[in-house]
Amino acid sequence: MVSMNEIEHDSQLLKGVLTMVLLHLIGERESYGYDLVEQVHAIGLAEVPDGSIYPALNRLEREGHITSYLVRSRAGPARKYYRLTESGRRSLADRQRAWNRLTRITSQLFTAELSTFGGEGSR
Amino acid sequence: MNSEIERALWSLTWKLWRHDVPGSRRREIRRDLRANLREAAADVGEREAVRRLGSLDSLVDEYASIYARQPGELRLLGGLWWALATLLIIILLNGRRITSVSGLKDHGNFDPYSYSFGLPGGVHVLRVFGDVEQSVLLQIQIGRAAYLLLPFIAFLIGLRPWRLLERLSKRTHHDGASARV
Repeated sequence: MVSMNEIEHDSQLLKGVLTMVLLHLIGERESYGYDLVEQVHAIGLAEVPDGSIYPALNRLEREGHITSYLVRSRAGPARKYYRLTESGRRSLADRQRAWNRLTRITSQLFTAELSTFGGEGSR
Repeated sequence: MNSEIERALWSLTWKLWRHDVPGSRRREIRRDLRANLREAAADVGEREAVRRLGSLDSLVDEYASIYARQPGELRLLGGLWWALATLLIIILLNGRRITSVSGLKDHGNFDPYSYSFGLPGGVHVLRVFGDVEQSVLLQIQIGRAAYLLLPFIAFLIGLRPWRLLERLSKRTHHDGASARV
């Protein structure tokens, strides 16, 4: 039996989703590293360590999906804001299509399994 | 001064260097992380902000997978820089003397000391000594051999030869995996 904890700690699963989530959040509103960490945690992905989010942003920038610019902050050092590029927009659309297809297939499979097990259990 | 944050950043920088992440990227990563960690520390405190980063090794692996040069490249220019910097330090340090503060000998027991480092065969490399009675708190004497030996060692470190070993170990691992398939 797989516990909820195991699912929450499945770093590979989270990592795959994280890129898409970051592209989506930056597409919604240009933002900086720590703000994105808070947003990711606020949507329910509290298990994702901050240390996974910062390099993911660097990777997206390197791949040309986002660009950055510095904005002075009264709180301390300048904040690096991220903006979605055209390539990022396309990548997000592709990822969302792939994700929707995957969830459609898996949810059909799991719904079928649940009804089978539910049927057996009700006998 | 955010000591916890700075400690984590220094450790991270050192590990990034070992993974052969270029200097400009290391500086950029450090600057970005410092800004983000300070923001986090304002909310949850320094220690918690650093803890939430997770494992530093995993973080370095992530950055290295994005920015590190291919393993196996010896860093000839890096080696030359290290050798040059070491030579400069030797020239600056040789013969330097820190004189004792007057009256220091009245405040404690300062015995004369002398530590020498050399090579077999009586080759003098480095001598550090002090004698408060003679108003010398610390003096450094660098032998001629050090002018060759220390920059050479620095050159070898700067070459990062372990990157060559990493490539060999990766190749062995890859060959092993292919053989199993």
